[in-house]
Amino acid sequence: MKFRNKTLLFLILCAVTHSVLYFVFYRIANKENPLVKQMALCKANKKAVKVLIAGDSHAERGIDVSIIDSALNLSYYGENNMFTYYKLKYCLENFDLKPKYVVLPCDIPTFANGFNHFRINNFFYYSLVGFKDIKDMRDEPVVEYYRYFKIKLFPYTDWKYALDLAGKTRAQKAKGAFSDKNPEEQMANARNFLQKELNCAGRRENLFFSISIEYLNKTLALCKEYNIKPVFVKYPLTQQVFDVVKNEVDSTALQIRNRPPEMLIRNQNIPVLNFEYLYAQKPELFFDCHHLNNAGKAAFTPIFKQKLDSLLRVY
Amino acid sequence: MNFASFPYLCFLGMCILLYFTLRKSIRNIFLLLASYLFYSFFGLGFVGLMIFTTLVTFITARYCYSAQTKSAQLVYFFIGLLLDLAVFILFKYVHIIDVDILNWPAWSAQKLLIPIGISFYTFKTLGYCIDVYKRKYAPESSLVYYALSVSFFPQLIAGPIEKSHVIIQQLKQNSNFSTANFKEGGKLILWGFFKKIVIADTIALIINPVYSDIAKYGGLDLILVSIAFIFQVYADFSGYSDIAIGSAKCLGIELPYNFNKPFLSKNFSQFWVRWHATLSAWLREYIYVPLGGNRTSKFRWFFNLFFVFTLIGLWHGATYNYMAWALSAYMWVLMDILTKKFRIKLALKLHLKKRGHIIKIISYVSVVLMVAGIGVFFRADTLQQSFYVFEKMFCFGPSKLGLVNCLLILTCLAVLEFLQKFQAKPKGHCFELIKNTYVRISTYVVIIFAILVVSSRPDITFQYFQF
Repeated sequence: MKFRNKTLLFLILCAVTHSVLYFVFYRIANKENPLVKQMALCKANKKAVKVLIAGDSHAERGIDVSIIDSALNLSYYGENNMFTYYKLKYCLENFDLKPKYVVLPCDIPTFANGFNHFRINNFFYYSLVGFKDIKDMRDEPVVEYYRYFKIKLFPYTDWKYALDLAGKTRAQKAKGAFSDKNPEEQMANARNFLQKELNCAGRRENLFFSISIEYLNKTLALCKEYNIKPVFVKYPLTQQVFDVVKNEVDSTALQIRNRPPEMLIRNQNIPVLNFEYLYAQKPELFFDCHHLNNAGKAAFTPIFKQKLDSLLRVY
Repeated sequence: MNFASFPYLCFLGMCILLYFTLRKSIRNIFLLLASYLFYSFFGLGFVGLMIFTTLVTFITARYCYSAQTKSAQLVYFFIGLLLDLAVFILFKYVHIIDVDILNWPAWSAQKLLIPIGISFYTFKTLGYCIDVYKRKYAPESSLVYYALSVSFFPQLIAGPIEKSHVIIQQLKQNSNFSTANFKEGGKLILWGFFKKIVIADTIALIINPVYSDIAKYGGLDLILVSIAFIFQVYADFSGYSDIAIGSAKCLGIELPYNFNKPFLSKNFSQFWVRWHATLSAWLREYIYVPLGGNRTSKFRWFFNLFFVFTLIGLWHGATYNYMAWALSAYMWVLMDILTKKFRIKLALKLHLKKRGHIIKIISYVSVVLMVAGIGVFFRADTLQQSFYVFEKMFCFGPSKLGLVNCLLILTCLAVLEFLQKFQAKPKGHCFELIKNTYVRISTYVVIIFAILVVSSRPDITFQYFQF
């Protein structure tokens, strides 16, 4: 066979394989992706929504939205506040939700370096982000554009997240208890959390991601535009997280004045519900150092509801 | 920059394009700068260190060669050798002395990073000094050529360790762009990507959690994981080598092979000739043979082997684990030598053909098990953890690895071994023996899409980058 024919055959086979994978993936992902399902639920929602709960796994694992009146949970695992902004924007622009309040996270990881560099579910989130906005999301725009084009051209490369293969494991995890681990394992878990999710730069002075703080401002501006009052929540964490942050990042990092995003929120007189230390000494309510388990969720939701209700009465 | 990544392919593509479009007189300067740029992605300070090593060995080798007296030659040789080794030891081992032996709390040795690839380029520069001192070759007169032979980016980070003069000779030929080389190089890169991303990283993602919580797993799990680990390292390192050889080939440079289907070795001694072949060759040429090799008394022969294996362990790192790994490998080699006659007699007694299938299967299984056994030391974080793994291997409990993970591991091993069947030469790829054009082209497509589909996983660095 001539070289030209071989090349042609190769290109045709590549195009066919790509097309098959592309369409099969889209068909399955648009049915199976939990974020797509979440959007579909939002769209179908006919009830009046008073409170929108947004954020990452802390909100998803911490709050049982079924016992909170007129609330809708938009939070999802691994969602950083930049993606929260785009999702919120999309929902407000496209669906008839008109919430009065939006609950947003302001935990240590929310604006941390590692967590905001760790991007998952790109298949879904990049569909919400405009081409021009991509450069704003990272200190290295080339890396972000590379990911963006990769997802746009080869969406099936994100199959693991798009098809939510970890869903069952996640549900299983919520049945465990952090107290079942020995002290070394607990500390190792907290240390791992610090290295991977908090401070990927590995520098003591570099815990927070400046771009993520810019997105906090954008989110607040969005709330203002839609006349929504934001409420920030600091979800419960275990003592091990505080110990690791204190000893291995910076002992002053836990002080509020050393948390730039929180200072920004407080300077604008936006309320912050602080549950950070609520269960610091109750490892049995967590399954790892920073996620509540099923028992934790059941215990935390009524307390959260009570605090939120009393706040909303005056706010 | 990760070798098995799209950015690396872009970098390589740019280098090939510019290298062959530039005038021949400045091509090598460009390639040298590109190699330093490539290395600077891992740390700018590392480049400075490599330039220092290059300059030291370049200058001392020249002085050594031109010195009139034997003693002057020896002095220059030792200056080069010691400075080269001093840098290597300072960066590779001083933090171990600091932490483990002297325990200096305020001293900053722990902050010294181990420069990536230092073990590889130090061995190369050492070999150059020794060759010049022994008058095997004249020292290179051009600093650019010599520096490029040390820093040539495809082989800079993890080999293959090729002699400087071999690379310099090829660089001086200044060959034109060859479509055949480019095609062959591309196929090798594709094969390397497949081995690294599809095989090695898939296995790594399954076995890494096992090593972080060994107590949870049963004996059978740990046996499977130990076997899987050696295939992971093999796919990882040989994948890297294929990418390196393929990249160099695209630029018109031939690098030696590093792996020659090591698990198909007849015995454990042969395994070391086929696994990381360039390191074995270096040690054989510069250490083992000068010590007398096997043409000496049995005791001396065994001592020579012991010395070489100790060096192999130290080269990987001054940890108890690497030493235990190397010394247990030495024990297997000794056992192989000592039982050779007995095994031949036994095979004759059992009427087994020398190259028959049964012998081949027995050899394969025994080599895999022996390598997997010592591989535990290589993978475990501490010596205690290694012994714990061995202990747990004999506690047969229910499998916690899960059927899917077990099947995935076995599939990876089967696919790797199956595709390797189509690799004829050691420096080849899996497309060589697929004669049917349609099947071959379909294989390219399947491999490309397999790489794409699994490429969304987090980056797992090459195992041998740490050395």
